[in-house]
Order: sequence, then structure tokens, then C-alpha cells
Amino acid sequence: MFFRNILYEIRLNTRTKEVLIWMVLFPILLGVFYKFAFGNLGKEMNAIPVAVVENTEDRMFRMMYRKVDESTGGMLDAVYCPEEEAYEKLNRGEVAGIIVIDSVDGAASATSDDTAFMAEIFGADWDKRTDFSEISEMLKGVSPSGTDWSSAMDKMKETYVGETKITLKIRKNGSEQSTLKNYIESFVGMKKMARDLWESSSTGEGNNAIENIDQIMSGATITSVPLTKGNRDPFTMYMYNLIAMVSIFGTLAAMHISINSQANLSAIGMRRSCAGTPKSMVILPGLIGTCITHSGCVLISITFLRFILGVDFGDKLPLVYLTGICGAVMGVSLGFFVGSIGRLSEGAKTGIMMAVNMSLCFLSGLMIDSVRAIFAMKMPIINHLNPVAVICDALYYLNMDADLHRYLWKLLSMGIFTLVFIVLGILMTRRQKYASL
Amino acid sequence: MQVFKLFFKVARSKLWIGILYTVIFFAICFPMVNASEQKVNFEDTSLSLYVRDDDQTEASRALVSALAEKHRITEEPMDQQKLMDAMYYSMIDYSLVIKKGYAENLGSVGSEALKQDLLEEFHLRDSYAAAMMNVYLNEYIRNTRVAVAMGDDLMTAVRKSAERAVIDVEIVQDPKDEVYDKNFTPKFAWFFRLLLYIMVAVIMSMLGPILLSLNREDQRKRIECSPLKPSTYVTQVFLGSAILVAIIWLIFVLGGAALYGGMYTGTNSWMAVLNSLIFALFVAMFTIFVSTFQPSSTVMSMIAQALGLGMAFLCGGFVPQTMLGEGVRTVAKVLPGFWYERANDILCRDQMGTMGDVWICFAVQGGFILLFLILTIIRSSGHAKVKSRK
Repeated sequence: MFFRNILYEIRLNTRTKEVLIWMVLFPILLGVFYKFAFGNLGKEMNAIPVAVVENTEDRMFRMMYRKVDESTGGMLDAVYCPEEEAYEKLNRGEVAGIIVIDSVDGAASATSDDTAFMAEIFGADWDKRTDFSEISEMLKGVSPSGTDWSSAMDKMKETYVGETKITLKIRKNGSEQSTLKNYIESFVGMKKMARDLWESSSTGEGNNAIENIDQIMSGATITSVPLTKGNRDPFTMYMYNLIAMVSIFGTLAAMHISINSQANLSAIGMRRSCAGTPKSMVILPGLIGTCITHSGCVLISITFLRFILGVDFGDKLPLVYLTGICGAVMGVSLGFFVGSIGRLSEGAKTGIMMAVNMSLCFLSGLMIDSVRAIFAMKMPIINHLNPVAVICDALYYLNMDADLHRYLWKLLSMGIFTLVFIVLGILMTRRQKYASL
Repeated sequence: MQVFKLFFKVARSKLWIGILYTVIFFAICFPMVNASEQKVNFEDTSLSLYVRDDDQTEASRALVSALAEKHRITEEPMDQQKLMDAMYYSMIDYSLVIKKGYAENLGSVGSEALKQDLLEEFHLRDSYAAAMMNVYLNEYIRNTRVAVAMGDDLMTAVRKSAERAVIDVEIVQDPKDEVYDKNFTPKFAWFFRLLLYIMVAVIMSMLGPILLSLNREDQRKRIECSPLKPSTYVTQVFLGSAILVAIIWLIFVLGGAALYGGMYTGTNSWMAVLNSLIFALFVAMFTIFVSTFQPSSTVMSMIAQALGLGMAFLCGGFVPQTMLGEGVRTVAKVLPGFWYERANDILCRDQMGTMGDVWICFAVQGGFILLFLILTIIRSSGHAKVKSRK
């Protein structure tokens, strides 16, 4: 009888259209929407598009730009154009900002004579050189003809690292604009350093620096240490929330178990209360059957997300399935508990449970992912007590952590929640007496 | 006005769902829109940095001070897992460890010292923040080393490096930009952006069941055998629908005004209000069309969620359209929600466009209303003919 009741419960659940719609179709639909809307999050950063307006020629800027472009793999996407075209691009949103290079009042600017002079020393392609050590090597062997050393150095300095005024023009604040500003400040700083170096080399003070410039420029500075081998895409957090939402929707599927066993809440409850069958023979198969069908729904959702939408849950997929099943069992137990509280009708309880579920999902970051983050940092107790956040945390730890320590704690929390909900539910449904039915 | 009265009698029973959605919607909107001031000057992005100083020298502390001038520093000890969580949740933008021997290696330009890494960065994912900090730190260290190589002592070199070149940044406005309006900020535009989902959810959840109740077989038969003319019946249903939708729309617009801090000001704000009215009319028309198929309330609810969430995700209701992929945007053009969100984005300058483009968005939404009106008429007349033949 026990197993037959389980079978009947499974049949009952699978024939309920609402279950199929809300537990299977709805999460699949939501997963597809998430994929479309948030699929671009966490992808590689794009190069920042920028227009450069050279009202005066700045060779060092071009040189620095090429150098940074090579070392960062193209963080800036610069296009040189006239001022009017640059503003049009900015207004159309095609560039994040305009870099305007102007001459500084009183500063000497390069002339055609200087250009010829530079070509004589550094070769015809002198203005395309980006290698500092190569330039410094050439500089050491300079023996200008027909002019004295000091004026030759000045001429070279003004041609290569002549003073200019650089302004950044943007339309709005943002991280792209701040990054752009940072790059330009870096260019200006490097240029200042190059001028200092040039000046000191003419007096002999900077010879040590000139000799080491290549090593200094390519010297080690920062080591990058990856924090995890898991999937670091922030978009995955929405998928964890989706799985948690499906799991907790088990509440809606399970509420009928306690309602149908209480004579004051349903006609079936009346019949069952009059029958000689022990309540445990009705409630336990109901719980097990609902757990099986609901776990099936959760597993379908996880499979769809993993294999159809291609969401990367890390390298411990069997444990992701296990988490889904544990979450589903917890959801069912919560539904059983809520169903046994008070004398409200099933419709009213469904409405309340739906509102509670969605609030728990909101606190866990289903709609705005930063909500859970705020609680995690400021009030972690909320996330420990929120069953939806517990499921999310378990999936997150599974993906990000190298060991299973934190994950197992979350699994244990789910077990405790489940036990507490079932015990409370049983306490509220057992040994009820009715004056009349 | 029997049908009209009946309409609002049914509407009263669906009131709770509207109230539930409205309360949740405003609870979410309030923190998002609260600080909606427009920044007119450039503000550098200040990052949240985690710094662990293993060197504890004058030079390392100077680096921390230089960073603290512009950014927020957290020096509270964190293990790697806590740090990973903080970075995953974007509570920390960049984490830096100043390695033991930092000052010693920074102050020497010998080839061995130059090979030593001075800093360590715990990396979670590529970001503009990480790129920005790496550029800064690389420049800082190189400048210091060059200054040391040029003969300066370490602390003088460090001080020189900390004096960063600062460039002028101007926020420019296009004088020909007729759409720019400082009264309608991108932050406040979030209210109208999210309104797409909530209007679909509320209007379809309230109007849908009412129309289904009125079109129920027994109800319909009673009305058909009554002396009420069909045209009067349709007029009263349309009037009831129009008033209900107008009330729902008005509640949201007035709620928006409360969030805005008073009555809307500026052309763009009022254009956004008009945009929301046109979209509300589309949702009403769509609901009337769907109700002619007599779906069950579960199916109606499913359609409402699918349409609302679908348009919100695909058309830029939950994320700005500029963040959506090109393919998604192309597909989304067949949905009226796309044109609703595009108009909002242009009005708040999140997307480039002219006032002409905004009117085009209104016209496309108007086209959708007309399309569903025609489809509803065709569907109703076809349905009536079949019934009369029977």
C-alpha cells in the first residue's frame, strides 16, 4: 500500500498541468531569457573606442599608444580623425571619448628641418619606432654633424617628446571613460619621464637609466594569481538562482499533501480522517512521491541549462544534480509545513506561498544579483536562513571552491531545514480532533 | 450600464494581485531611482581595493597612501575564499599584495632586482578596474625605477612617482543635440524601463481574468439572450477596459512622480510618460485579443509571464539595450517592447537618436495597437459568424 500510494502520488503530480507549466516550462523559458539578456555579461572586455584629434603632432603619444597597444593586447581602439568627425562619432556613441592634442603656448614645435635631422640620425622610419632601448642605443652613437651636441639634443627632444596639451572629451561618466583617462595620464606620465631622461642624458646624469631603460620598461612588476579554476562568469549566478527558484517551487507542489490530510481543509481530508489507514501511510508516500516528481523537474531544468544553453557549472556536475535534488526535497518539506499551518484555503495558502517564494528569490538575487551580495557582506545571517540563498550558495561553492568544505556545510543546512520543516509539519497535522465534519 | 458595472465587480476581486505587483515594483524601484542626480562634472571611478602589505616599509606605505588618495582601501585581513567572494560580488574591485622585499627591489636597478615581482594581484576576471589599476601600478613602479636609476634616493623617487600627471577632462554636449534634457536622467529612466514588465504583468493579470469571466459560456449566453444590443455590450466592455487600464497607468505614473520628487519636469519626462501610455494601450489591446481565444486562467497567466519576462529580457527592460547582443536586438525589433525601451533610452541619452526617432518608436507601437485591433475585429467577427451558423 505504501509503494502504491507513492505511485499514485507520482501519477497525480505528472497529470497536473500547472506542475508541468510552472516547474518545467517556466524555468526553461526563464533560462532562455536569461541567456539572451545576460549572456554578454562577463565576456572579455572590448577595446575602448576613442577618437584622437591631433591639432599638433605628438610623436611620443603615437609611440606610447603603439607600445601600450602591444602590451595590453589592444585595450584602446584609436582612430585619428579631424575634430568635427570626432565630435560626430562621440555624439553617435561610436567612441567613448575624444583625445585632443594641442600645442602648448611658447613650446617649440617640430619643423620640416627637424624631421630631416631626425631622419638623418635614426633613419627614415624614425617616427614609427616604439622600442625605447633601440632609440637609446641609437642616441648613444649620435655624433651630429654641423651643429653642437646640446642644440642637437634639444632639437631631438622637441621632435620626439615635445610638450603638448592633452585633453579628454567625453559625454558621460563611466568606467570606460575612467579607464581611458587613466591610460592617457599614463601616457603623459611616461612622456614626462622620457623628457627627464632625455634632459639628464645630455648632462650625463641619466646614463645609468638610459643603459637600463629596456630592462626597466620590461621588468617584472605584478604577478597575477588566479583565485579559482571555476567558472567566474557573473551571469552564472542568475542560473544558480533559477535552479534555486525551481527547487523552492516544490512548496507549491507539496502543499496539497497536508491540506488533503486535514479534515477541516478539504473533502479528501475528511475522507482520510474517517478511514482506518494510519496518517503516516498517507503523508509519507505523498511526500516521497512529490519529492520524486519535483526532483525530476529540477533535474530536467539543470540538464536543459547545462546541455542546451551550455551553462558552465564547473567540473562537479553530479554534485550539481545532487544539490538540485536536495533543494527540491527542502522545497517540498517547506510546502508541507506551510500547508499544515492555520485554516486558510489552498488558494490563499498558494498566494501567500507564491509571495513568500518570490520574496526569498528576490533576497537571493533572482532579479538583481547584487541583493544577495549585499547580504553576504553586511548581514550573512539572512543568507544562512534563506533556503533559496542556501541552494545558491551551495552551487556557487561547488563551482568556485577547490575543496568541498563550504559546500558540505550548505548541504548539511539543507538537511537540517528539511528535517525541521517535516517535523513541524507532522506535529501540526497529527492527532487532530474535530467536533463535527 | 449593466455590463460596465459587472466589469468592475469582477475587477474588485482581482484587486489584490494588482496591489501585490505594485507594492513589490515600487519596493524595487525606490532604491534604484532614489539617487537620480545627473553628474555634470567628470568624476573618476573610485575603486574598492583590498591591499595586503607584507613588506611594511616606508616605500610600501607610500604606495598604499598614493592608492588611498583616489580609491577606497580595505586592509582588513581576508582569507582567499572571503576575498574571492568579495570580488565575485564586486564588493572588491582589485586586490593587491605588496610582497616582502618590495622596497629593497624597488630601490635597486640591478638586473636581479628588476626580475623580481614586487606586487601580486589576485585575479578573478578581466575588468576595466583591473586594467586601470595595472596601468597605474606599472607606471608607478617604472617611474620610480627610472628615477632611482637617474640617481634619486628611493623615497624621493617614490614621491616623484606619486605626483601623477593629471589631464583635463571635459564633459561635452552637442549643441545640435535636441534630445538632451537634464531633467530625465538615465538613473530615473530605470523606472520607465522596469515599467514594461510590471504593466504587462498587472494589466494582463487584472484585465485578462475579467474578460475571461465576461466571455465565459454561461455568462455570454445570458448576455446574448438579454435585450442588450451587441454594440452596447462591446462599447461597455471597451469603456470598462479603457478606464481600468487608465487607472492602472495613472497609479504608476503618479507613483513615478513620487519617486521623481514632484511633478515631472522637462519635455523628455513627459515624452516618457506618453510612451508608457502608448505601451499600456498596446498591452490592453493584446489582452483583449488573447481573451477572444478563451484560454484558461492558467494559460492566460503563463502568456502574461512569458510576454512580460520575454520582452523585459529581450527588449532591454532588465538590462539596457546597449548591453544586449546584436542578434538579440535584431530579433527583438519585432516586439513592441523594443520600441518602448528604445524611446526611453533615447530620451535619457543612453542611446543616440533624435526626437524624430522617438516619434518613430511611438508610431511603431501605434502600429502594433492597430494590428491587434484589426486581428481582434477579424477574430470576433469570424467567431460570431460561426456561432450564428450553428
